[in-house]
Amino acid sequence: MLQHQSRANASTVSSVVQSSPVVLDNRKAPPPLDADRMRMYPRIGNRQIVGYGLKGKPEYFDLVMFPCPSIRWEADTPETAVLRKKEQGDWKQLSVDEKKRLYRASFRQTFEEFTASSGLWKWTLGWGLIALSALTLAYDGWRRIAYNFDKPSSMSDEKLKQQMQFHIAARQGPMSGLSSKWDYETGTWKK
Amino acid sequence: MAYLLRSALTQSVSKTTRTMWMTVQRNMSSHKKETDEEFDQRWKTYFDRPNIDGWDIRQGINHMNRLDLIPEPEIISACLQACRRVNDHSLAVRYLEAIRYKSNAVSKQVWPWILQEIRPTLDKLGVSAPEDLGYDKPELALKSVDDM
Repeated sequence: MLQHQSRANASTVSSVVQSSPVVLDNRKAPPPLDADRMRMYPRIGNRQIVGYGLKGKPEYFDLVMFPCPSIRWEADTPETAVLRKKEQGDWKQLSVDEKKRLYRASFRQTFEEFTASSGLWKWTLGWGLIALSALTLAYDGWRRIAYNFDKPSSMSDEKLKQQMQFHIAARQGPMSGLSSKWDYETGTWKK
Repeated sequence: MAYLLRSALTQSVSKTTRTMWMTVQRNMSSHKKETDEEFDQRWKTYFDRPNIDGWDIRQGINHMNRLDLIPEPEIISACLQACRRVNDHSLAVRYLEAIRYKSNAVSKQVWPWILQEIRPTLDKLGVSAPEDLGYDKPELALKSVDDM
């Protein structure tokens, strides 16, 4: 029922040509209701209904499963009306730019465009690495702030100096380490 | 559809597999199964109607796109001629784009073969293939509907 209804209401034969790019101008008084204006659906504007689409509703979509949407993408401006007139003749007279203009008037994106990869993996990887490093820095910062204890008393300068004297007295590292640099005859560091 | 498979990919198929395909198929169910020729003929008569309008062409294209097959070049030619009768060049290009996308999912060899088969129709009607318009690569970088 809905399909036959929208087909009867559809403007497959002729289209409404809109002259200004603004469809609803709030500054002016609303135009009187006439047959042409009643054909203008509030949601789709002056765009021509051309098919059944997905569920019989006049909506535009770009889908791989359904190549033909139910309405054209753009409303017919006077320039496109001229092109449509030319389209009724020989298609070999249409230039490549005119054909591309006609295509963009009927469709928003080509198949290659709406099936192109989004490059989401770059964002995923980037944000993942940023999150990982932020967590690491936060953890490190937390450890430095919350667990920041005083140094033990054995780390003071006098105690460290005494510890070094003990090490030298015990001949720690005699070959190439600490005690090898101490001169035991003079009791000073080797020159 | 079997014709399409056999003629396009015969070069790459070994002899033993070909004989496997050519064995007789038995229909276990009671209802008659439509043969490939009947299927092709049905769709060709659908698009060959002289007073077909854009609504029916779009219905036919959308319906056939959902089936698990790539249409025969004869059906594609019939549909392009129907587009010519309703004076809609963009619809013809959209149809060819849909077939190109679908055939690339099967194999990269199918689309050049299809183009070669329908080249007479393309030249006669003046329909541009998507490659001629530069639509085999993305042209505009518009926001995806999923990101809105």
